[in-house]
Amino acid sequence: MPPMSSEQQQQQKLRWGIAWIYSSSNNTIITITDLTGAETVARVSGGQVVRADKDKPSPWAAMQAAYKAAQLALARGINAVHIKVRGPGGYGMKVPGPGASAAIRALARSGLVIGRIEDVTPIPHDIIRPPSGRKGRRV
Amino acid sequence: MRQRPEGGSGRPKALITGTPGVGKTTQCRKLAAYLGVKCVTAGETLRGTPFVRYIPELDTYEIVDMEKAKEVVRLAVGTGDVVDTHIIELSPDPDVVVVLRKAPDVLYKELKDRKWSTKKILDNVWAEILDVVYVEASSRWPWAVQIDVTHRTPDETFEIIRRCVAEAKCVGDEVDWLDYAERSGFLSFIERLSRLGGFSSQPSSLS
Ligand SMILES: Nc1ncnc2c1ncn2[C@@H]1O[C@H](COP(=O)(O)OP(=O)(O)O)[C@@H](O)[C@H]1O
Ligand SMILES: [Mg+2]
Repeated sequence: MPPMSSEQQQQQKLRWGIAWIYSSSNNTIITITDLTGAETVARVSGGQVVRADKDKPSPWAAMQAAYKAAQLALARGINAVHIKVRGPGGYGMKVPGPGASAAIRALARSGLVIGRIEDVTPIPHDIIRPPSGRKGRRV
Repeated sequence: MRQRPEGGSGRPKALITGTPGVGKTTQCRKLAAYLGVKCVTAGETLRGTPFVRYIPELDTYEIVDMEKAKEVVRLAVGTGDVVDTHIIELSPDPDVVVVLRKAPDVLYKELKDRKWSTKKILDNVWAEILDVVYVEASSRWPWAVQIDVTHRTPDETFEIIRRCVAEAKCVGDEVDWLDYAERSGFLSFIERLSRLGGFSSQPSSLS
């Protein structure tokens, strides 16, 4: 067998999961699952890291929640995550809201290796929906 | 030159918005009847115009030209009318903006009764959990108020809306469905359902 490159070696040590960031106008929840999404290894909400209800939607709460979720995931053997963000950004906005952005930054600083970051914010629709392909938001 | 329909291009009295299934059309009609004006439902107004395209797999009309679609709605709305849409961009600036809210588990049942595809139900239920319509509405119109219809009859909801419009007495509700969904276990349920179908990994292009 040919020797592994250092990149391959590093990849072997990575245990990937998915970090789901749900961000509403009132709260942020970070759920870290395995790659299939079947098993939840960590879930932390803004409400768990702040005392007052009014602080739940703050970027600070999102950051603390993301950081705490990352620590739990690391302790349970997940050391790399792909990020999926569900969070509205407001009228005509090209980025998800402040909670989501803060959570992404916190995950990146927490010691987890970050893979793909994807915006999966749902668009409501019934018999009518906005043009597709407008979703090209940055995260 | 384009023919301008009777009463078009005005400032609506109210916009009734919210995720599909919350009760917009019901409330829009009630309010319009009460005020003696038109209820303009954006979806109905756009159906059959060249600015939308029917997508059979999704059973949805997709807007293909947003600017033209906005113009069609603008021309259909007279001053004092009531507008009903979940697409914030389509509405002209109204006096009163009401965002109807319904607890996501109750909305889920409502949409299941409509026999919609799982994908369509999930998109809407997630949108309701995450305040998508409210965030868009309140960022454009900071005076937008939310009304939680979950434990109200259509008549009770209407009375609140009537006061907002007729008496300018508007007391909205606080809503935190994300917290509610987590505590009640509905969040886990909807997460599992989303992942079963692989819906979460292919967000925008699933049929
Ligand atoms: N205020 C209300 N509270 C609870 N349910 C309501 C209310 N208004 C309407 N509904 C119910 O919600 C369902 C959806 O109503 P509809 O007006 O078609 O919603 P939308 O136009 O938002 O999709 C109907 O079953 C209707 O009876
Ligand atoms: Mg309707």
